[in-house]
Amino acid sequence: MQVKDTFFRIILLIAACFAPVLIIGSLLTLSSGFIPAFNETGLSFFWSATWDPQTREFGGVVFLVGTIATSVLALILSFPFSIAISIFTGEIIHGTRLASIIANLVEIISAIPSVVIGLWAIFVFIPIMQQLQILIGAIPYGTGFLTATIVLAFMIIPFSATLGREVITLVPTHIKEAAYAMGATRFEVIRYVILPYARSGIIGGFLISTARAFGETMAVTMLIGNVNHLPTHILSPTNTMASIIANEFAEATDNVYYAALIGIGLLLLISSIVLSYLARRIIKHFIL
Amino acid sequence: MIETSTPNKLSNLNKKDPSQKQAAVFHKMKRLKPLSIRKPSIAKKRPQIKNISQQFSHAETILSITDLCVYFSATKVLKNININFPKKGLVAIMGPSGCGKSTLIRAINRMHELDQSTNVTGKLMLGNQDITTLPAMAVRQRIGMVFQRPNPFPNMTIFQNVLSGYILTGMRLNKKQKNEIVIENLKKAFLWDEVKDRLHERGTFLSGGQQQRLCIARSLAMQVDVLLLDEPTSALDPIATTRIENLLQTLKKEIPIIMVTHNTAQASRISDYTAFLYLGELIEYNKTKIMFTVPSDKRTEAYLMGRFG
Amino acid sequence: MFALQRNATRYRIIKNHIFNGIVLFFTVLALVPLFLIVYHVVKMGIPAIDWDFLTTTEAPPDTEGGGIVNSIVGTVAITFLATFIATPFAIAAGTYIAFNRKKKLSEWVYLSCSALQSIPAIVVGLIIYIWIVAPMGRFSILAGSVACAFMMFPIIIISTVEVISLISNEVIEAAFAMGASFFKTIMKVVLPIATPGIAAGIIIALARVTGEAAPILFTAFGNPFIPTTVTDPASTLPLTIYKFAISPYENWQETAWGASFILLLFIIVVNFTTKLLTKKR
Repeated sequence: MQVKDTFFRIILLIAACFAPVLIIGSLLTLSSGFIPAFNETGLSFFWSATWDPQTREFGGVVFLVGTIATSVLALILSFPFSIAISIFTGEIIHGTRLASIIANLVEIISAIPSVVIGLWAIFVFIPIMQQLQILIGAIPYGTGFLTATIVLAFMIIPFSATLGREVITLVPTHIKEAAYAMGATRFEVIRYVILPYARSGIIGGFLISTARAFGETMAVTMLIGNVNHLPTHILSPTNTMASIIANEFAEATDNVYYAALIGIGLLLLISSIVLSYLARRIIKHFIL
Repeated sequence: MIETSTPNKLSNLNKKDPSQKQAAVFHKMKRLKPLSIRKPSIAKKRPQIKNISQQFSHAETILSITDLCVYFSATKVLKNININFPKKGLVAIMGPSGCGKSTLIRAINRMHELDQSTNVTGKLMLGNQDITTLPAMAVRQRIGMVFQRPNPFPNMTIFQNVLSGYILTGMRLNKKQKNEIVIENLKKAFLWDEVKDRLHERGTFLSGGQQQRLCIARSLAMQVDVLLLDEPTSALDPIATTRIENLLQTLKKEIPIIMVTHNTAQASRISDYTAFLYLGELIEYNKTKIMFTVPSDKRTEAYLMGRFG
Repeated sequence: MFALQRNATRYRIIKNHIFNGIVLFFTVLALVPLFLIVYHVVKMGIPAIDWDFLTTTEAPPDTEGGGIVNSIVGTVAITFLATFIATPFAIAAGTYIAFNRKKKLSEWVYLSCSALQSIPAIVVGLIIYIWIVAPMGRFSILAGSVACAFMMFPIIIISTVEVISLISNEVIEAAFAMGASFFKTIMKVVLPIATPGIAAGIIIALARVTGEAAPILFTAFGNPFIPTTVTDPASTLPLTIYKFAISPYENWQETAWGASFILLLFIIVVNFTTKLLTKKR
């Protein structure tokens, strides 16, 4: 019995070690896969904006900028919606049936496969964007930076809204009561007591949303236009780290080209992990 | 007969040595005990007055409640309460747990409106004004409330906490006014000396009793007409409790206070009038010294002798 | 003492109403795209679906008809294989953390789990390509399953830890007090109690990877025919939707809508039933 127990414990231990091993293994794999490209391009990989497989020039800046710009703008666009949903379901109608219905609907948004959202955007949202572009006299690509960003903003609403709702409901009742007893209106209680109290949790939620936006691949690939140039204005097509991998990895026959795409993957991996780590730190700090 | 000037005597003691104060309280509590022994003689001369409300003239009344009923869903928790609160003095509301005493003062401050399933009917007059017709926010600004659990705003500094009523309701003050209000009200709440060097820190380092006094200061800063206290000492240790009691004895000279308590000793020590609630009804309301010596209702007497709750 | 001037309550109440209105407006506006997506998927998807659609493989571009049976087979094969790969390891790892909370290693494992969860799906595809597809020299169901298992692994670990932590310590101590070994306590007491919760975690993880196209892109790659072995490449529903949505061919686009309807229906039904089941307990 003693032997069996020890054996069992060792099996559990090995299984547990799998998670760190997978992370370290992924980092090592991608790093070593990136070496051939790094040898060719040197540090210019991190500051050159030229990506041309023909001339074997590989600079990742376009995609880095594309990812950061789409994510940040999507975050800004989604902000009023997420915070409104958090406040509405977490405080104004908290505890009612409607609140749980809305919360469930918001969770469904995160459950919709991103290819389905992409499909819908191609056939429903892009025509609308084209009409608008014709209206303002721009070239009606339909696809492009803004289109991808708006859809991305919609897709990341659930992550910050759900967390925001949770931290808002965690604000102790006796603190809220104190504020109401001072004669504050609900708006004033939310503005001066609830939001400051829940602030770090809300910020954590937005960081998680950003991490999601960083890694979002399919819908963005379908909508961003896939042109390897820095966006010249808000409607122009461009590319993100995730979408360049999705688009070009299958065709990358050349060794350096292949390694350069792995390098982009490494960049994406590290930035996503760092972002979500920061988010978790902030949330943990709030809850403890 | 217990001597009539007890509250004043005790407040005089405030200035003296604290140990003496506590001894006095203890002494007082001990003296209350033999009530049961005197029971037969009391029974003969029960006073007829069960509700002192009518004896306050209109000018003497700050808050008058007529036919107040509170329903939680279908349950009637408060049954036709009629009570007037005087402009001078501290009224204690006591009764066994579940009798509706917290419900009553929460109804005064319209806190029940935060809960959809609660219904309140009846008339409340604050001075000459029918406050049931006013918006709840306006009423709450004029009636201060201190809760069982000290609840200073954790995201605000001590300074901001005193001013929280102004911050929350969007009233603008200049720097001089702010300083004036903070200093004055912290002094009123006996807290100034303890926190004057740390005004701009968050109130989280304060002890429970200090936090509760901060909450009192915050209500006083709003220049409220009445101060409601919902078992303000039930979460505190005995020493902090004594300090709050002493504070209330000083404060009651300036502002009418209505305090819920489940502690009969506390009621007898610091209140001028006592109301006894039982099962959602106002059983008896009279001067504290009369009620604690010759209660007019058997239930009051039973409660004072510790027979229920 | 200055004269106190209370702020006009009516103005503040109006402000409060305006605020409520704005909050309601944004909440409703955020849900509009959701309803539009569901509406269009139902409207465009249902006409595309008939018996043929569910029983034939995909048609060449610019022809009539064609179905998605190859994608359905691929999806089912990959997700089930992924579940079988991920579940035992994940439950074992979750049990380890739940019973060794104080150990440094548990902390590291937990941290790695959140890191694993934050790896973008496309990067997972990339890693599995390097690990499995490149050495084998071919895209395969196996590679796709490993990629999906990679994504399910941390989700199941975390839900296992949570479910086991909810079991009251007394029950576990009672088992130990009866002289049961660690192995017996886990297998006969802890895991049976935790089974419904862990199952819910597995189903949620499964629903999530079912909808992902990104990890399949370079692992199972896609296959217009029904795969016969685990070393064959395969198509999945999301992959087919992606490929067909960006194609210019009308019959493919129609197929994409039909496939979207089936995928969305599956995911919403699974999410709701797990939600209902977990609520009941």
